[in-house]
Amino acid sequence: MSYHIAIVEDDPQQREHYAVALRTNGYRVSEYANREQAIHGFAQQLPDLAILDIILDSEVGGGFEVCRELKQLSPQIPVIFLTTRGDELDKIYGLQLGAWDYQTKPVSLEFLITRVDSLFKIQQSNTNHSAEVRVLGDVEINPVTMRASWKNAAVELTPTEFDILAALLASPDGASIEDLVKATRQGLVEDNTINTHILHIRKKFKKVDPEFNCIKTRYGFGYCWICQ
Amino acid sequence: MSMGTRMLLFSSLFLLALPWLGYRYIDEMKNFLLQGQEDAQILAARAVAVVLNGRAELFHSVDEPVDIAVEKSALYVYPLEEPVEVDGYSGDWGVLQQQAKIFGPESYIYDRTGGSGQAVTFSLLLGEYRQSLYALVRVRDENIVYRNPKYRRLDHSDHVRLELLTPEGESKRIIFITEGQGQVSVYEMKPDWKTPETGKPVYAISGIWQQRADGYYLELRIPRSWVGAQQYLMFSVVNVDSTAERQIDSIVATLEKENPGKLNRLITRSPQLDRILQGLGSADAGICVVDRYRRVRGVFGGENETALCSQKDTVSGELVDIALTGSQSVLRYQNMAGESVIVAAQPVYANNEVMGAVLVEKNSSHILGLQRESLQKIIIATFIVFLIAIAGLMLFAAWLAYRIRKLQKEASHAIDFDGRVISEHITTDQYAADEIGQLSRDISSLLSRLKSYTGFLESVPRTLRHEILNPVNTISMSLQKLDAQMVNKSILNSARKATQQLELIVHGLTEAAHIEDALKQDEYEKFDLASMVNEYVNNSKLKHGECRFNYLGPGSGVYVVGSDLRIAQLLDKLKDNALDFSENNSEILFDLKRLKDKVELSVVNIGPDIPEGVLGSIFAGMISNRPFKDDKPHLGIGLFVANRIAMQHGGELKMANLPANKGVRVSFILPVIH
Repeated sequence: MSYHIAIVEDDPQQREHYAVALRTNGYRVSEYANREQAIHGFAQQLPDLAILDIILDSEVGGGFEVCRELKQLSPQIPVIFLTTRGDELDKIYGLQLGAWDYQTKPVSLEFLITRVDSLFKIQQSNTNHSAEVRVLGDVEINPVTMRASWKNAAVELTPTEFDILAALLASPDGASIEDLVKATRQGLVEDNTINTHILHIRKKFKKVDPEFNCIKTRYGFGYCWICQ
Repeated sequence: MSMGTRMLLFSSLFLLALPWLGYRYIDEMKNFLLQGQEDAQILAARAVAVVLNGRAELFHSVDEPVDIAVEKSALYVYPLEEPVEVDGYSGDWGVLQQQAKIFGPESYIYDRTGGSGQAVTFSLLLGEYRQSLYALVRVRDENIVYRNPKYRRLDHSDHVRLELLTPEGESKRIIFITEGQGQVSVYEMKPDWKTPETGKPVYAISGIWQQRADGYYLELRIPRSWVGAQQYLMFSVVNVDSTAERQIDSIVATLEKENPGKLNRLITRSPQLDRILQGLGSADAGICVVDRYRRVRGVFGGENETALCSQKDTVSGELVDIALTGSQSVLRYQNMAGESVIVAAQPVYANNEVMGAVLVEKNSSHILGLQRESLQKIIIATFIVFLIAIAGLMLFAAWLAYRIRKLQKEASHAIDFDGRVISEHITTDQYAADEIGQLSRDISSLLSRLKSYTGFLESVPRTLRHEILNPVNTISMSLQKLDAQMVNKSILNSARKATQQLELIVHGLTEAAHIEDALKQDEYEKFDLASMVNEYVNNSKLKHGECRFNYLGPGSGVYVVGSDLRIAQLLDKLKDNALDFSENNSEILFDLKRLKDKVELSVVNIGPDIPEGVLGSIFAGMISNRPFKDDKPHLGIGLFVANRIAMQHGGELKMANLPANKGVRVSFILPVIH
């Protein structure tokens, strides 16, 4: 059985591109142009994943509204936002919408498909990947399931945050901003976007361990992981 | 000139007109009052005249045909307020002395020398107090010949004669003669004036003779009853010049020799007239009745020295002339004491003939006094009003100025240095109904319109981002699809590069547009700026693989409050700027200097300088002054963002060319904490 993916995007051409790309990869796709259509569609059939553009026609936060209503229908459905970054990234966190991930425009279709694939892979099998686990001091990461834990307590990271953390752990001498941007595989990302991610990663670790202080800022360069 | 001063000056002009108006009013009032007074005095004079009309007997004691010559030569008896002392001195006659009537050669009734002898003149003054008649005879005679007791006849020395008509109609001749100064001998004489009638002195009449340098004074007291109702008498001075001859040289009389056998009439104040006037008069007005020869016949009130009729026998002047011709008249004049006096004159008729005139005199200085007083009051009142008005106006002006200043302050703070609308609502005087309130509301509405406009401008980048990135996304995805099919990758790559540049432009724009909001969300904490910059420079060396970055300053210990990541972002912008403008591989210096309670972090590069004209606006955004081109878009946003970060941290950014045009120094000045 193929997964059902809902795409809410007001621009018909972009919607078309996403849909074609996903269908080519064997997914079932429902396309919605605005909030009303999406809500109407969800009422008839819930998707397994929703890809939401944030600005829908004249509704500046239309995507957020759709997400909120979808979560009310079914809290478990993962959501991928399509953003133009900056303030919107903060909003995704600030609104506590429980988004699984986001993609920045212009979207790399290849990367989008990869993310969707891995999402379903993770959902499919919650076992069997322990072999992949890498341990570095108190932190454990599983690149397959994109799960991380600190002192055996799970830290809920988005895939992008996971990628950044993985890149950080992979460079004992510290990772430059450019390295981290590359790790997010999101093309053009400003320095400040990485700063924002690091801020959120720190917060998430501190949530499970208030004493956490392993991510150090290397001014003028990037960040490094040193636990002392 | 401030608004308050101008208002003050302007209103002063009008206020200054107040005392002038007051003066005009008072002057008119004075004239009106004086006019009223004149009218009242004419009426009073007429009333008195009406009472006196047809009563000729008040002017003549006896009803008899009047001899004009006698009438003209009448002697006036002044009423005395107190008796004079009969001592031969004139002092106690006071100002009346001026009224003395002088008789000279023209009054000679006998002259033995035929004009060749020494001229003798004398003056006569008559006064009346109760039942006594006083006389002062002042004789100018260089050569006094006293009586010699050897001679029995009494006409061998200088002497004074008095001829009078008794109430019984009998003629009496009285001689005043002396052997020296002092009491004179008084005898009643026979008609030939040579020997006394009886030889017994007359004791009822007393007189004192005083010798003077140029003659002698004779002062007499005569019982009033000796002079009859017709009141006729005559004085004559007999002059004897030679002690050897002892013959009468000349006789000067009070009546000219053209009227032989006649005597002078005595004119006194009429007691009946005085009584009538007393009944009519009022205390503050002087009433004076004169006969047709202008002799004062009755006086009531106004007995002071300056009064018109006081201590005068006649009243001259145009006023009396007019009245005596039968018309009423009124005159305003100033008396010797400088007081303003109004006199009204009205003729008195008897038998269709003008008998005399009534003069009503009143001092009008009280009106002038009233005027002065009113003027004074008006001036004081004006001054007070002036002060109050000035104080009021000053308060008002200060209040206005305060409101305008407050409004101006609030209005100027409503828009920040960069022209952003901070507050779109002016609270100063927003409910006031006047022009300032209107101005305040207008500014508010102006600001809100401006705010909505700037809001629109601020939303443009966001809209632009959305509108541009969506087609870019479409292009990008289309390119991705083409990628699989196209053989010529270079065309694809250039298309991709172009989309990336578009993206960069859009990001640059949105970053600048949203930096304000983003900065507000930053969390501030205390951190060590020196160690941060030190580390930043070291890492920059590693990152850029060049040793051109240098740090000058303390390794640690300069603490500031702020967002370290933002400061790092700021350093990035300054570093990028320095890199862009520095000459090949020249040093880029990070210079951290501790000022008093601030820290100055300068990034200095060697290279082309910034034109002076651009220096002031370099942080305003969208100013790019790159003389060269590279593959990155330059919107001049880097320094704009850096400046925003500096301002958000309570600091400032300054840019200056190095001396001798060797490069540029950008300084970030930030408060430190101790």
